[in-house]
Amino acid sequence: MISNKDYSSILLGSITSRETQIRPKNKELRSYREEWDIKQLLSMLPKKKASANFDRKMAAAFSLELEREVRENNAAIINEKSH
Amino acid sequence: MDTVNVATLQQMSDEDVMEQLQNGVIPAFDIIVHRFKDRLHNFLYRYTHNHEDCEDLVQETFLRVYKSRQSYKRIAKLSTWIYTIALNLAKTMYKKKQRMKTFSIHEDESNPDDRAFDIEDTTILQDEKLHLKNSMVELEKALAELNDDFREAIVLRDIQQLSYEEISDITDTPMGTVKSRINRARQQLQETIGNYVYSETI
Repeated sequence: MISNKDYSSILLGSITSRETQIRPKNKELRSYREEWDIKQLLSMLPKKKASANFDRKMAAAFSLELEREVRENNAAIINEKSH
Repeated sequence: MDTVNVATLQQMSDEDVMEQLQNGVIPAFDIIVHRFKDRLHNFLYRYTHNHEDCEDLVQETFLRVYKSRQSYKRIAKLSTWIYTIALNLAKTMYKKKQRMKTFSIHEDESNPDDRAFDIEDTTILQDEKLHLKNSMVELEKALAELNDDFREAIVLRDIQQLSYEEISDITDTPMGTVKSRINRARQQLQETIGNYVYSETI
């Protein structure tokens, strides 16, 4: 014979396991939702792109850098020869 | 020395193009700039909030890439190496800017094309569009208010879509710390903009 106590514990157990199956823990569900929302929103932020002028400015800066490099190399060669 | 033509360079992996640059093939630099300029712009904008400063920073990053080209080793992905340079420059610049913090989330006045939050139909501003617009504005604000470590981790992960491993290399931080920073950054963003995202989606 099953006592009231035993019966209620069996019943409680079955309810708990059924609830777990049907309804995910609220905390887990909430944190999953939050993560998804933020990740999705971040991916939707407008993509910032370089302007049309960027290539021109970059090319100018790079040619200055190349000139500087050539000057330095030449100076190094002259310096080496003079010694 | 420029024996490799541009068409061939375009077919190469980032790392092979970099090797060509190390060997003195100057057009390889243009290929690298072309491949990374928008990615870097999107990343560095989160530090500058201004297109002009951002472009200066992107430009400086590429010049550093060129100057330090011989120090790149193929053990790392080229993108990881470039992001590391960009991040270091951004941090230096950001520290300077923090001293005179005048951040505005509104459109960047230096760029007339920066109309990122414009709503297409001005006559019927649907609730959903308004909600999304507000969420985006709040999100940009919240992102700017995160602490530096959290911001760089979440920008690299959720905006630049880099792997945890790459972020770990770029920030020189253990992978566990990177994951924890990303999670905490997401939580903080959620708390800050919760009213906008959460209240109307449930």
